[in-house]
Amino acid sequence: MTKYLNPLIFLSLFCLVFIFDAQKSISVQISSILPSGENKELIREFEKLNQHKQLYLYYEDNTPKALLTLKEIEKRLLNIEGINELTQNPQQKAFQERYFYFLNTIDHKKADEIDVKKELEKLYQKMVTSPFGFRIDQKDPLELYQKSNPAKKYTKLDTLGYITLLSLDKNINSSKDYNRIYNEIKKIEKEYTGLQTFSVIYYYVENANKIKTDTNKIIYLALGILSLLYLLILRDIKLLFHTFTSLASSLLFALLISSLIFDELSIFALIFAISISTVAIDYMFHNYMHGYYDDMNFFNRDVFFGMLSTTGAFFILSFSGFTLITQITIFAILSLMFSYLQFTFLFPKLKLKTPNKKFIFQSIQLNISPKLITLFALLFIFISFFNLQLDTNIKTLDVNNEKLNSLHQFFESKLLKDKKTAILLKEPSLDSLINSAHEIKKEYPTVFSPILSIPSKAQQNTLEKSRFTTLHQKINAYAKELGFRKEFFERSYFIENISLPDYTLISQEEFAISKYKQEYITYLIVSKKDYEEILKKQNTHSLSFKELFEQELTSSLKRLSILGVITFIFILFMIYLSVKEEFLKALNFILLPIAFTLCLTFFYPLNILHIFMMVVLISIGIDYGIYINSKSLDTQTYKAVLFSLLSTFAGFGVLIFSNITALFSIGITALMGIISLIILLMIQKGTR
Amino acid sequence: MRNIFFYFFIFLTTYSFAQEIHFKEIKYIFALDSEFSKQGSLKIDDKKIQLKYQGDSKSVLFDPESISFITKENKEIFTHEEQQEYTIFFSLVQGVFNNDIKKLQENFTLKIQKEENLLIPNEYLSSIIEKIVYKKDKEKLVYLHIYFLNQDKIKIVQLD
Repeated sequence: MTKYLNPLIFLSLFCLVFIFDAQKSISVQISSILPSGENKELIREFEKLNQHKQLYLYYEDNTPKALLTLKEIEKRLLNIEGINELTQNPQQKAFQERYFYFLNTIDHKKADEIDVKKELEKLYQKMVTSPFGFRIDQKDPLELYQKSNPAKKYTKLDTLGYITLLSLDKNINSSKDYNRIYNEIKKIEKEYTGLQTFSVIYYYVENANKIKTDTNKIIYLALGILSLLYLLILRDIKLLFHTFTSLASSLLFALLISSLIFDELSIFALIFAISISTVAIDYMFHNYMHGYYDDMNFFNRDVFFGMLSTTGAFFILSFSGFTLITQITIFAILSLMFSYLQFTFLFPKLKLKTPNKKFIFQSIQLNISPKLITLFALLFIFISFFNLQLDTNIKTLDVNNEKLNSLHQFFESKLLKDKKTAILLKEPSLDSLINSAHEIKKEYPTVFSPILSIPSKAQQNTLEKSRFTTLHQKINAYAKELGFRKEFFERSYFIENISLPDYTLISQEEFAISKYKQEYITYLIVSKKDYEEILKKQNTHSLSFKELFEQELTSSLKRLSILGVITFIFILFMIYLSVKEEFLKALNFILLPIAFTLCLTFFYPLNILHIFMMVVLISIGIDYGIYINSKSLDTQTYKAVLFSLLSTFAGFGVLIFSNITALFSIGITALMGIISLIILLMIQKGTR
Repeated sequence: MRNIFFYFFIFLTTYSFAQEIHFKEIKYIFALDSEFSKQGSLKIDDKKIQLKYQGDSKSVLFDPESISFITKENKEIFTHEEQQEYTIFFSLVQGVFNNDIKKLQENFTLKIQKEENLLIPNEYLSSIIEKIVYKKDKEKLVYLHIYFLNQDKIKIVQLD
């Protein structure tokens, strides 16, 4: 029965993960690693408010039929469920028409000087002579308001191509829909050589695919290396099967519990934590190599201290307040402890035989003094600190989709005069929110927001009623003289019956307004050149991931530094507790990996994941420091450490093959650490 | 000298194969609650159209690149984008007289009915025009009615 216990645990956890739908909490969005706080919540609110996604089309064809072909493509795309014509929101349009005189600014000079009768005569002539009809804007027949040209449906470019826009239904929000629409568009795109399309949903689809492909590649590589280790070196398939099953169980256990703790679990945190979990193999190796599974001896003091130091370090760091770090540390603690329990209490019952083979390290040793190594490591760390630069831009950790970035830039440069970005506006009342939005628009005319279709009280108060009355009377009197219909200008410049809307009755969703806690929020689309200035205004908030990450990092730096120091003291304490007299030798297992990884500062700035991986290396290093300098040291310990290092490479090192900066950063740091530990095993005097 | 012959040849090929159509246009303007009638002519070939109203010294020339307003003394040239309404009008004329369905489908959805053809405007034209109906008897245009959303109407009838 006991031999089936391991697979049974795995199957039970597998079922529980599905019952609790734990995998649903996994998120591929970079925002899921943003520290939690008001700013992150505001970004989420903005994402809910701004659900208006566009589909850009560009068709280039050196024939006069380019436009016709584009229209044909457009028709085909409109047949795809979820793709619509780009139309103005009807509620916003109705407000813009009704409150035209409130929302727009009259040309006072022109209004003072205008000869109403002469202008009406001109209108009359145009109507009669125009071959295709002439439309009079009844709101402003005298053209006293500046009008923006209506956006053209098709924009012709110098390259003999045309651009047009379609919109995506606001209910299209799931990755399933994104994938369906993406695939259907791409199918059509393949049929037209000169066609290029772009939508922000492409990022979700392509980046998620890239992450998935990358993750699969890494998992296969890691499994391959681990299988080689077990099959070629240990030659024990039973051990391989049970180790994989136990590791998988511990991952499922950690995923299950993490999904109950976190609403959203970042895929980056998950991959990183899975890699950390493979470190648990060293618990098994030490027990296995020292014959603990033969003797049914459950307690290995060194392994226990190793596990305690690693999980203890993670526990301290879990208080960092950083979502990413919290997710990784909690997941890793759960997975490592579960692995430890299995390797300690379950494996002895599996009747695994300890191997006895000659060890390769017996022929290599340089016997360098531990003091010298400590000195070298400290010197190297000291020099590297002068070169240390931090890259706090969270976006560099994301997938770098250059093709989509350049497509996005192409469409933006062709359709927009200048680059735009979003800012969030937060005010205690609807009244002040609408007023603030209009105040900003007055100062920066290129600002756009759906809320600007609602007139403010200030706009109503500044209207010169007498001017409107005069204009209205004049235009109607002369129109009658010239033979216009009596009622044709009855609404022109007439504001008597227009009153402000009741703000509380407005459908907030239609105007991108949302209630956040006790306040109201909306977004403004602003020119990048005005961005910094507008952000200085009260109640405006940045919606940039990069800025928020930097802000939170700066504000959490003090806390992180304190936690780093506590972790270091904890580790020193654990070393002392475990090895006492061999303290310096064990310390080198921490210092040398740090020195080696700091080499990276000579090539590029370190990001948050380089630094976090260094902390993990410290935790791993201390495990090895304890094992190697333990009183019970023998050649089996070396085997266990070497196999652990190989398995660590399988877990972390393979990440250097990733194209995602976040994962590559982890991989390269791990690789430097692993190399340093192998070197240390070979050169340190008295280490063996 | 060779250039003169060349331009003469171009002139001949351009105008000798063009069909000239005389028409009567009755325009009802809702704002004035009045009808205005005038006669004009259209010279149509594959690529160009020239429009001229009786008693008006100005003519309008539409070609694939531009729209020109020509008087004896002056010629003003505009791009199609600058004169969108004229562009649509001339595309409509080209489509109807040359029986060019593809041309008509650039801006309209065509519904061929028993008695007459119906054009429903696409995109932004739908905020100006309600519908267009026309009837042809072989090559001759019996009538073309344009119904605007502002309740204006234009009726065009071919005279010869």
